[in-house]
This record gives sequence, structure tokens and C-alpha cells, in this order.
Amino acid sequence: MNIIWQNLPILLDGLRLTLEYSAVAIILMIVFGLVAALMRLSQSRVLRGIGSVYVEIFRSTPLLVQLFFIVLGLPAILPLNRIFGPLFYPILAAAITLGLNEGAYVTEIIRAGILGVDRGQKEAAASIGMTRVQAMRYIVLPQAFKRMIPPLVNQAAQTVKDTSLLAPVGVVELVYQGEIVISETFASFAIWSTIAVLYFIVIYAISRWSAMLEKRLQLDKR
Amino acid sequence: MISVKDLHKSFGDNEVLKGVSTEVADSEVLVVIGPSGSGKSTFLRCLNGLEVANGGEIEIAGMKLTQHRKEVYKLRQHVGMVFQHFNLFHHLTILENITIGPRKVKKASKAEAERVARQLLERVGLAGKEPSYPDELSGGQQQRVAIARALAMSPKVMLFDEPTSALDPEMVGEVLQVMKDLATEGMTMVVVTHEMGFAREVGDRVIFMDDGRIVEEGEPKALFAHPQMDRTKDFLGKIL
Repeated sequence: MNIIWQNLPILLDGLRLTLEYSAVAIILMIVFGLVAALMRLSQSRVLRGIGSVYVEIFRSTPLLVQLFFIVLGLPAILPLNRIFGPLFYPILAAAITLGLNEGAYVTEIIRAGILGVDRGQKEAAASIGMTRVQAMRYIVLPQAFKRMIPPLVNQAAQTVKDTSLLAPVGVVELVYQGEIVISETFASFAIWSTIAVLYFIVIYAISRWSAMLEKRLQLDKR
Repeated sequence: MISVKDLHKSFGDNEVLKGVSTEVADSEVLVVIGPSGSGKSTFLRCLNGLEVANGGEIEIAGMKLTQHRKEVYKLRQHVGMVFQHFNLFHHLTILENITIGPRKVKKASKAEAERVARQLLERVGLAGKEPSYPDELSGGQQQRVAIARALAMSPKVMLFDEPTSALDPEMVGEVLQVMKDLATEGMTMVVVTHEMGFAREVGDRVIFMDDGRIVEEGEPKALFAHPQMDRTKDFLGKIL
């Protein structure tokens, strides 16, 4: 128990970093997901193609491999460390890679949400002279987002869990801090259980929130 | 006001419109009847570019309907449409449903758009429903809001696509009354409907469509009383 209390500040510092990376990745996944979803629904074959290739690449390879490739592989052939700094590039690249990976799943969530809005809504918007962009922005997306909220919150919880894969590529967060503590104390059981509990608290809170939202959205059918 | 020449439309191999031509005069109320699958709804949807015709010419209020997206957007501002299933915007209040077109498309001020919207709601007998949401209204009320939403754009022409087909029988009258008032005020209207009473009372001319063509047209009372073509007789025999 003592070991846990002694090292808790380091672990909490790791948790803080985990939450920071999660926040950045969640923002990025929404941005990438929205852009890719709109591309996949576009009338341009080229844009549709780019959107599909993005989704397929990131869904069909493991996140850990993506991280190794982009964080450690790319700098071997490109001067990325020199441009962004050898300390900053891995952090930047890891956050973006995580955002891209989760964004591929978010693309499908947003696409399904948009397609789930009755076609008549778009036609009514068109009939009063709205452009396709206006119809999407004022009519379709606001209705689509409501259905997307529960699956998006679930994807956010997944993103928090996936930040643990940043440790193997050298990014300091909760798991990374834990491994350092263990290498000094050899208290594997105590530290890993503490880490598990910390993740659990955060992710359980998110899924409770998701369940609550879902209930409220069901009551409010609008 | 409306001129249609040799309109053709296919969905894949299925030719739905096989050369439809007609004219609609200023303030005329044209009623389109026909069995389901006759192409009457497709014809109507071609008029504001919701369906893109494969051939033929459409001109409304001096504007040619082309493939240019900007011109289609422009034309739709002058052509109001009312749908079978109302298609009110579920996430907006009744007031917002009516003001969003003028505000976003015509860049009208909020105050001006709301003033017009309140007048229109009064006109369709729904004053006081401003803060409600569409799902809180009956079908008949929703359809009247949909008419107000279309009128808010000050259209020169109104298209009605089976506006009473999705309504409970006791609500049909209130919607038809609003349409009748519109016709009396001189609105140019094209109405696809099964309401023969409305066609007879309000329509200036009836078109009977079958299998993608206009089979017969004429003054409603005359056409209903003395249809010339067998297919028209057959159809009217079933529904009158």
C-alpha cells in the first residue's frame, strides 16, 4: 500500500498526460471523421475514393503498427525530427496518429448518422432554395449529431484506452510512468492494479455519461 | 408561368416520363391525377429540379431549368413545394421552420423573417404554435406549417405532391381549405392529388396521366363527367 501512495503523484501525473492526449486525439478524431465522412458522401468520385482509402488503411492495420510507422518509421527517411524537434515530433506524431486512427471509426459513425436522416429533410431544404452545403449544415447535420452522440462517446472511451499504446513508442503517459515506477520498485502487481483502477474510473465515468445521454435522447425524440 | 416541353425521365431502364408537355398560365390551378406509377409525382419533382430530367425543357417564371446548380437554387426560391409527408425540420420550432429559408437563403433579418412567419401562421390558422416542435402537432397542422414554410419564400408557383394522402380523413379538409384560399388569392399551383372534390371545385384544368404520358386533359367538371379515353373512364370509374 505504501508503494502505491508513494508513487501515486507520478502515476497521477501520467494520468494527467493520458487525459491531455485523449482530449487532443478526441478533437482530432471528430475533425478527421467529419471531413472524411463528408468526403465519402460527396458527389466527387475522387473525394469519395480518398475518404475510403483513409478509412480502410487505418481500420485494416493495428494501431500499434501505425504508431511505430509514423512516430519512429517516418523520421528514418524524412527530416521530421529536425523540423519539429526530436522531443516534440514523437508527441505530435503520436497524437495525430491516434486521431487519424479513431477518426476512421468516427467517419463511419458520422456517415451512418447522416444517412440515417430522412431523405425528405434534405429535399425540403432544397425546395426552399438551400444549397447542398446549407442543407447539410442547418438541416441534416444538427439532426444527425443527435443520433451520433452515444456512439461518439463510446469511441471517445475507446480513445482513452488506446492512449496506452503511446507508451511503446516512447510517449510519456500513464502506462509509461507505471513502467518507470515498476522498474524502480519491482512492485508489478500493486502498480498495474493501480493503473487499471485509474483507467477504470475515467472510462466508467464516460460510459455512464454515454448511457445517460442515450436515455435522454430516447425520451427526447426530436 | 410554367412551360414544359417533351419531358423525359428514366430511372435506370425504367422510363417514367415518356414526353410530357404542358403549359400553366398565371394564377392557374392545374390538378394532376392518375394511378400510382403513372409518373405524376416524378413530373412534379422535375419542375423544381428535385429530379433531373433526361430530356425536354422546363421554364418557370421566365427562368429555364438547367443543370447549373446555382440556377437551380435560384429557381427553387420561386417555386414552393409541399410534400406528402410534410418534411418539416424536426429539430426546429414551428417559427424556425418558417424563418430558416428566408434567413439563410434570402439573408432576411431575424425580425423581418419572424414578422412574416407570424403573419403566415395566422393565415394558415396556426397562430400561437410558434414555439412548438413539429412532432407536437397533428398531421393536418404540420402540413399547414409546411405550406407556410413554402410561402415564406414568396414563391411565384406552388407545387403540391399528394398533400393530403398521409393525413387522417378528418384533417384533410383543413389543408384543402388553406390550398383553396391560396388559389383564390391567385397563386399559380400544380397539385398532384386524389382529392377529386378539390380538383372539381378549385382546379382550372385537370391532367390525367398514365404510364408516363398525359392521356387526357381538360376542364375538371367536363373531364370528370365525360371522359373521352377508355383509360380515363376506367380510372375515374374506380375512384369516383
